[in-house]
Amino acid sequence: MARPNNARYSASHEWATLEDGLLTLGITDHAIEALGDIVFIDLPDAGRELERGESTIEIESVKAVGEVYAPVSGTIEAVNDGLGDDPAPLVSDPFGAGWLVKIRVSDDAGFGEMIDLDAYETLLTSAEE
Amino acid sequence: MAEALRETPLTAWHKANGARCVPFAGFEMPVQYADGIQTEVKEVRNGCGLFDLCHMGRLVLRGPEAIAAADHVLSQNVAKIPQWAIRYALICAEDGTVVDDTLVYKEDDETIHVVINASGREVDDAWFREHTAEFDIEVDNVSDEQAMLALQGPKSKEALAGLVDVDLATLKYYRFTTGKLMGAVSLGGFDAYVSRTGYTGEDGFELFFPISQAQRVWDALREAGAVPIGLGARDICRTEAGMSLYGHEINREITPLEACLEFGMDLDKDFIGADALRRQRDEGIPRRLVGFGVEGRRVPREGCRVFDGDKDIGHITSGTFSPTLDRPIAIALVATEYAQDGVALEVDLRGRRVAVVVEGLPFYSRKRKKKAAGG
Repeated sequence: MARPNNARYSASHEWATLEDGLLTLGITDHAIEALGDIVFIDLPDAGRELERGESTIEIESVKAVGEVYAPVSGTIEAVNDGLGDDPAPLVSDPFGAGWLVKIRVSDDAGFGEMIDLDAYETLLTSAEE
Repeated sequence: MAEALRETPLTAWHKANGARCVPFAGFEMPVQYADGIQTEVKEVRNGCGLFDLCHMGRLVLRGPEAIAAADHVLSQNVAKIPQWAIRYALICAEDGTVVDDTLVYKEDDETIHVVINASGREVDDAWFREHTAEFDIEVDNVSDEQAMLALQGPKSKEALAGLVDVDLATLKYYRFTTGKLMGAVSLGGFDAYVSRTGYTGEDGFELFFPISQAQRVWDALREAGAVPIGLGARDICRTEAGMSLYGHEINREITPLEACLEFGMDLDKDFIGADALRRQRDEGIPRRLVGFGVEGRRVPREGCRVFDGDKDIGHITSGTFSPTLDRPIAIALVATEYAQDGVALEVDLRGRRVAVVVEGLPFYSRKRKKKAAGG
């Protein structure tokens, strides 16, 4: 699966893009692969205020739960609600239709500290060795 | 430094065929294959799953006092087990808590097979040797020389029938026998034990035979339609069937009375731990194991605390999403006063409460399924 070059990544396998103060947050294909069969996504409500590093979304797989952390502080402006009923788009298109939330950023310092695609893929490779 | 993981004769096959392997009780074992855990659970419930259980331990008590020795260590009344029958039994410590759980196979009065957990390979071996020293028996640990495979699911009989000279239709549940696997000896066949047992809640068989033949039998069973299943689906199947797993529902801090395992004990006989268990039975069992139905789709996981209002009344021992029932299920150890069907409680899931209702175990039974289908 091609990972987008214009996104930034985290060691905990989130991806994010930032445009005009609005951050789109998702998880990578690697995170999805590691979780296994995903059965439920517990999404937050729009309007919720987030602190950077806060657990924002829970992704339940058959055998484990994955938590998605907010890379920045801000307010949730949009939620991909359809995923709550059917997680399939997250699995088939994690960098597109499978986005999780959009956050109106109040402090974007966290975004700057995320890593670029090369660094993320280096991290995945070194974790496998 | 971490010790190197042990492999079964099939580990290389698992890795070469899409399995994701994880450390389990010192072995490198497949947690799932390429199609994923939900697909594997459905295969066990509707078809025939094939399990590599070579990591599990097998002890044989041999000698004139095999029954007396087994009855001293095991909670079940071994003297009363019919020849060629199998019973669930616990190894308890003096305080009544659980050292391991086992299946006891009585071949004859001088040959008792004990199938133990992988985690008990060394512990149980040492326990038996220490506590049966005064009996005229030999403890034979055959774990490394005997392969163990399981077939589980409604099509297990079909998959196995052509490979073994045993009349599977007449082999009853929790009975075992011997037969030739893979044909007559002149054709490369060999002796095997075949039991009608398992750990998924489905009909099925377990096979015990020389470990050098593991790959051959594995390949033949796959060709006969059996589908490899990893430990992830195995754990879900046993949770759906309400079966205890050592280290979760039972351990050195939980007694078999608390874990509702009365069927595996005879408290009218003496065995290590019996005095403590009789005392607990008479004085009151403080906690009991229950099933939880869960409101919503979030899954209570092992270790989560259970609450009645502000009062912490127990913990989750196993929790998973059930692909068979399409809902989260959990097993919990709770204060006895709450162990009644219909009692409403809450589980703390990472700081947020989830409503649960006590329901009877098992969550899933193949007999119930058949009735529901009119069969």
